[in-house]
Amino acid sequence: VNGGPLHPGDLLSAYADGELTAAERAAVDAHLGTCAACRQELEGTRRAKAWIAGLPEIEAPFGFLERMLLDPSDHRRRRDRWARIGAVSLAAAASVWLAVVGFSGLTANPSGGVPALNSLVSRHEEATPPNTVADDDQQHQTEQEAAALGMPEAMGVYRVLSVAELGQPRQMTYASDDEWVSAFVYLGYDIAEAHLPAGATERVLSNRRAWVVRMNPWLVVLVQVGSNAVVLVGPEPAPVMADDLEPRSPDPSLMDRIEGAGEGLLEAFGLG
Amino acid sequence: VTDPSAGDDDRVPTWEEVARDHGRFLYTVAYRLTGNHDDAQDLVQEVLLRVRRGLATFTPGSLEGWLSRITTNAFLDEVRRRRRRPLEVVPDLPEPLVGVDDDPDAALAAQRLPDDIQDALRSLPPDFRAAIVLCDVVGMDYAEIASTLDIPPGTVRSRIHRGRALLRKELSA
Repeated sequence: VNGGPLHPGDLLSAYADGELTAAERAAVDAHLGTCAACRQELEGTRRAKAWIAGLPEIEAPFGFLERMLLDPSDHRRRRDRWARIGAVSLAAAASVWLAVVGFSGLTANPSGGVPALNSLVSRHEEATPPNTVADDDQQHQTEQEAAALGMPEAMGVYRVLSVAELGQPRQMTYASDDEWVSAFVYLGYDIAEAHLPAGATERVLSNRRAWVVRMNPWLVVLVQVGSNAVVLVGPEPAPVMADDLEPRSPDPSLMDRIEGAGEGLLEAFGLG
Repeated sequence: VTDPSAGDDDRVPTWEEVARDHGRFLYTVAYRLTGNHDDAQDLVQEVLLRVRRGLATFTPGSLEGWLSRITTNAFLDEVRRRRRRPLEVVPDLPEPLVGVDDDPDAALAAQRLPDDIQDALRSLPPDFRAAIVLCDVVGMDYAEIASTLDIPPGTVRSRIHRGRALLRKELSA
């Protein structure tokens, strides 16, 4: 065997993970000093570890966790029934339990549901906007990216600050001088009323419906924009709704907070 | 994802709290193990059903570690249930493994798309995949992985190392 003692082999990952005893580590160190092949393998091992460790978190498809919260036995029961009658196709599965087709980016069969609002609120909280101001070119570019998603360049006092290039949903940030609003754009989704959480309050602007959910300290608004579902998460009290929104399910406390709050996010969608 | 030793809590959580507060973590682990959304959803559902049944046996400690154990076991149970033929052959690698991904430019070689990495992960034998996910996605140490998978420490070392070698092989093309 070249380089002296046996090649450490499997020990190299444990070495990279800091999982060797002091004696093992010393032996591997000594071997590495004389064996280029093992140094190279150690490098490859570290690279493979970094690939996996660097993978992003995965968002559950639209509405999935909410349905699990309602009844985790529901999903299986339905799928089993479809399996029994031999009707499992991608489209059928999507129509039964949401989001499969849309999530894979094939928006020809729009899915319906309600996104996992808790995780969106977490992402909103993590998305602290930077203090730097974009130059005109950058801002123009961002506004064009927003327009490509059917989203406005500004919602009331909030101007678009960033648009994620990838991901479902596409995460956008709108910011005013001291606050920010996140917009999560689900391409090719319909909001399904049946899956809205309890406590969602419906609002109507012209013929467009939106739903408001309080998630202290945030206000969450779900609205259908064309073929996309948009979830807005912003501070409460917030200028979230336009003045001419009519409550269908009056909630006085909530109405107090959002009525007359100035220019609204929904108004900025050009929904009038 | 998260340090599994963090967030310890002496209180037994409700399964609603598990679904609501740890759903993203759970879904990520399930997706990394299964490699697709259909199976990830089935797996998360199975985990939540087990959680609901098993909360009485929850021992205070790392909730995410506990969830990872249930998820991994449910995953491997399903793999065994589906398997219609004898245990798959465990790849026997030459030792040392040299020259698999010799790229003179290490920085360039280190860049791989997440989807490609996930595909490579999915190509690993399930037992290897589970060890890699517990180590590099969940962040467990080897002793926790040995306990979770109920295998000896030496087996943890070899599964992780050979799993990584197979990943390099898959991604070197």
